[in-house]
Amino acid sequence: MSLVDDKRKVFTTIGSYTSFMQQNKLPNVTDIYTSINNKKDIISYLLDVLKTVAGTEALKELIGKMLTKLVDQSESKIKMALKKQFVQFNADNLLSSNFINNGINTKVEDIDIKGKLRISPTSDSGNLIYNKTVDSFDKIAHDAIVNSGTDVSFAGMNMSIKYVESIDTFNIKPLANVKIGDYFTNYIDKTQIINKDEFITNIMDTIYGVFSKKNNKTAGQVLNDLEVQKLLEQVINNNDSFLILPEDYDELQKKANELANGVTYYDMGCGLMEAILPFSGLTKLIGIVSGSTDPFTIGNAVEATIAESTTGSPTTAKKNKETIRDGFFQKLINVFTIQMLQFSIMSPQIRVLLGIMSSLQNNGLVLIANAKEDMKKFAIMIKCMANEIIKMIAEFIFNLVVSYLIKLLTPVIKKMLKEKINQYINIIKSLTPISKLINST
Amino acid sequence: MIDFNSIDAIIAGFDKILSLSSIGGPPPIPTPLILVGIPLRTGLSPTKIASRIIARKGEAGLPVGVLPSGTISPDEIMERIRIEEIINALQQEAIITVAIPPGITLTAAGISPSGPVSVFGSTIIYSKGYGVIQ
Repeated sequence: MSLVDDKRKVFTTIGSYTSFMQQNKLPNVTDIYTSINNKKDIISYLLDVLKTVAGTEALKELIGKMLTKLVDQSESKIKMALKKQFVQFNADNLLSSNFINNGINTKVEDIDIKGKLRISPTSDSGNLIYNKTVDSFDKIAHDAIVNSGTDVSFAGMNMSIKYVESIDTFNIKPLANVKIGDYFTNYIDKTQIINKDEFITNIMDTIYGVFSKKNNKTAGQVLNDLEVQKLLEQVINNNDSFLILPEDYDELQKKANELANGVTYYDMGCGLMEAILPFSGLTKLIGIVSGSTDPFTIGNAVEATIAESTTGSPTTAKKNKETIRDGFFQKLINVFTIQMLQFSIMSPQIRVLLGIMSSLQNNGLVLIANAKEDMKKFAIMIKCMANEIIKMIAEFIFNLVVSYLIKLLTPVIKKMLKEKINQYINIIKSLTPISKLINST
Repeated sequence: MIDFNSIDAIIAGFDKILSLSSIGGPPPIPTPLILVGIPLRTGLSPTKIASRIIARKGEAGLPVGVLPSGTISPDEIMERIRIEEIINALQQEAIITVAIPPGITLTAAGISPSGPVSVFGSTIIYSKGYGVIQ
């Protein structure tokens, strides 16, 4: 090598090292999936993985499966989790004489956060939220309101309910004395935790406000429900402060006003589009869901509400169909998770159960009052139930992702195996004298 | 069993599936074949490798050959330089260490004060060797 080359080499080598060092200062990678930066949110992460493996169409399939298989499977799992929370140290004691003789008293608004019990089961709205095929706490409680001052018995759950109109309060007593553990176990066994029609109605109401508007709920009533949902969402995301930040509160107030008017806004990425689902759209959806066990039929019916809610601006909806759809499904799954937790711990029947438990543990003192305030008192139970719900939903989504991954990886594995076999054969050939002769001819 | 309340456990579950560890490794090459076959090999040639890569550019939808101006494509020159540097590094800087496990069967002959002796047995310690890439 000449002196000129040697000199040049020094410069180019320094240049290469400089270039190498500058490459360490690479710009930050932009993650298209927001769940990567959200350390704790398991469900969002799984949804992003699902979308990566199977595309956004898979979200529709997931919705259909969640509203059929998952809801059906969840009943027994939630009951088992509830029993763990309610059957405690005093399980072998008999119910207290105070509970037997005087019962517990609770204001209707303290257990009925959504205002369900005043809706008649035979009304258009009642048709969607009451299960008429079995006796339920809600139906009996409604009967008690209608027959104010009269004891209404529900032998299956070992209770009688009396509504006292002057103080808008329920008085709830057992019909027979049994052990506390047996009472709670029977109560939970005889309770339907998730009535699918009501569950879907509440999900769609949280998105569209269609049920709230039909029942003339005020913005304040809707806000109260949204606040409960927000606190539950925070627990799901590992925030157990049970406090709503001022900026979140402003957002909830805005949302409450919209939902009370039966209006929602689809996020199109570059703007919002107004959407209104008519009550007939909701009843049609419930009609399809009630009579079907096919996830694809249900997924399509849920998707159809998007078109039905945007008849006012069909051109914009058509142009932004994919964006609206993806955001809608993502939101729906998020609401599904929150609603499942809300049904498990905040429904009237479970609120009453909390009241009974607190009374039996505190010499007749009922600790349930305002639902939002109560969440702090029952924080451990809420966190445990949230964990159970997340576990159940995460496992369900994970299994769906794995089924898609298997479809994706099977041909990849076959290709890699073929590659390995070919590599091996080629190495053997390269070491064999005969192959050299063949190659050279 | 995955703990579905733990994001780390879920990620580990996906990692396990995506690692495709079930595929396993290739079977070993028979030792006599290596001993016979290696002397027949020609060794690495940067020119041959670069030529083969350039010839396959068409598979990626890239043009092969000189530019419309008639000059040689800098991309192809760069390809040759890249391969030359990689092969140079492998041949001149790579360290190959061979680990030989204990248990290698051996037969040895020697002489003792009482006369010639033969030994049959196996190695009892691991050993190592070095190699170069050509």
